[in-house]
Amino acid sequence: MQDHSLTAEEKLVTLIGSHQAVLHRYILTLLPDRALADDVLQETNLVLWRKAADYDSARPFLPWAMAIARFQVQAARRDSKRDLHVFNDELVDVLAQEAASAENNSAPMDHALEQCLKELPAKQREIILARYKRNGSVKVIAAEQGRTPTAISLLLMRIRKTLMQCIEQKVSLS
Amino acid sequence: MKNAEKLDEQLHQLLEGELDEDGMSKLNLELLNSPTARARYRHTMALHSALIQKGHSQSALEAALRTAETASSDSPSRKRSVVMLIAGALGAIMISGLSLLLLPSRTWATVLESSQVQWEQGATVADKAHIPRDQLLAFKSGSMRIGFRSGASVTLEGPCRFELKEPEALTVVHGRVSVHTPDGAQGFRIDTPGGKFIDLGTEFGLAVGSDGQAPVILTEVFKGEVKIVASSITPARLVQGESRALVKDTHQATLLSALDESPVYLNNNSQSLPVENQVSDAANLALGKPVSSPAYYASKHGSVFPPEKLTDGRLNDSGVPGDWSFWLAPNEQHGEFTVDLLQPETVVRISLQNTNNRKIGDRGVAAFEAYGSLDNKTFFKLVEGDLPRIDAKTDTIFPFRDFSFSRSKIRYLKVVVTHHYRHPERPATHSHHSGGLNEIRVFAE
Repeated sequence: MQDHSLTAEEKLVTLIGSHQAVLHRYILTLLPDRALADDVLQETNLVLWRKAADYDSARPFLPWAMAIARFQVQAARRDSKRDLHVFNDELVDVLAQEAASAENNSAPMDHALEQCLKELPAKQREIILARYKRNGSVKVIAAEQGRTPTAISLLLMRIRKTLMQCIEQKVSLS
Repeated sequence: MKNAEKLDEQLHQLLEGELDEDGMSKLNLELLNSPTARARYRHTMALHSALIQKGHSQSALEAALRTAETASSDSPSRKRSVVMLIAGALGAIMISGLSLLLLPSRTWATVLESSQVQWEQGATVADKAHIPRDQLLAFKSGSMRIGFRSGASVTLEGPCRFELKEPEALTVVHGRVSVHTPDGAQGFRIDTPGGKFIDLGTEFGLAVGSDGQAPVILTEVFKGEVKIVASSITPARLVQGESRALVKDTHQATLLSALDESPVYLNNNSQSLPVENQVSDAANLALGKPVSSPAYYASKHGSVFPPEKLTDGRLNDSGVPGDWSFWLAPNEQHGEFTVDLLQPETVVRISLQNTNNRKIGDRGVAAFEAYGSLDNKTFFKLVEGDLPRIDAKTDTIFPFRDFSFSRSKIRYLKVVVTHHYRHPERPATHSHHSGGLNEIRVFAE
């Protein structure tokens, strides 16, 4: 009995761990605030863990996890008036439906991203990775690079555009 | 094509926090009306998410490697734990994004921006990081702006000690803060050792200090309205342009409309970090060196201005009651002070920053003479000069004035004030006036 329970726990931990990327993407799409999305992902992980007994392993994990994430997003929007200034409820509902549907059909982008990062000029790669390190900011990068924050911000916009075009190309080719 | 470029620009601004409210409502409308725009938005956020997770993994690994470097000469058991740490970081990278599980629980406040913050030992919170709850945090210098979930923000200026105990309140034990609350965030509160300051939709400043025994808190309302609640006083409301000093006289809390015979004035840094002087103390021989003076101005409610403030590296009449950044001579005296460089130094230049006594404008150096000595007994003249009056209305950062002289070997530097500024509107018989100075810097080149 105990062995069976442990196996179920292990399975759930594996499922939660292997779906972090897709859950983070889903939450960030509904809450375009990096710190808030990180918090909501953690809350979602905790709720998934607490509701382990409710999970029917015969059914797909992702729709169940996304439904719980959706509730956590609603709670965060209710608690955080700041985010209400970004998207209204109607838009968040539409984005939630479309994002859930898109996640079921999306190709993994991790490998393509790695490839596309390698194809960037070294300086651009350094700047985009610096921006996404924990606590990396335009202001800090500008100071490190001896450039203005505006110049770094414009460069980041161009790098993101290049990466998106590159990833779209690689994913469609694969 | 043009619309797509415009959308990309809006999305970039969204990711970088550069989108204003008008831009947000336009983006909201565009996404609501256009399935194509929503698809573009989803792709953008997918890339953003992937890069964030890559960043988390990278940071976790780098932190582990840094720990490994510092532990390279440690005991075998320490090394084993470091190896486990690295293995953990690598595991987090392999299980994409699992390192997010290590983040703190839902946060109440985040560092929005900071400048040259020097934390006290044991406390560090980086830009964009969450403020830990129920932990007294302290930084010696610099400034930072904290954002709360309601949209309220607080700018803190060092030296500052503070603690986050509730979702929409900040406890400030010591230091200067400026508060901004947008519509919808009314009720945000600053708790101090002397009382609570409740924001009713406004911008206001606080200087939280002490007279050595009881708290002394200065406040000025820049916009809107603030409610002050303290034991033994009737809750008071201040509106735009009003200021008070919350003090304890004979064990009773009291709200004073003037301190040192003048209303309280504070700088409004509620929506941005304070502007800093573009000066470096790297070659300043006087920084942190002892300073003596025959006497200095000291009054009640933390209005004490000893000479060691002249070399503390703090500028622009900053500080709080009991811990101001500048020196003042006693009433009706020009004043003088002597900096001990602790060893003979060859010097060629001094740099002085004047004071105007916290915008009161009744003190400051007008003219001075500087002398050098090797034994603190025999002094020889180095230079004399004039300093302009600080204009409290226009000078948010006070200028430094340089005075050069021939290369001289000295250990002691004495500055004798020969003329000082008085309050422009007070009568000649008024006794509240004296010399005073914010900072002295001494250079070998």
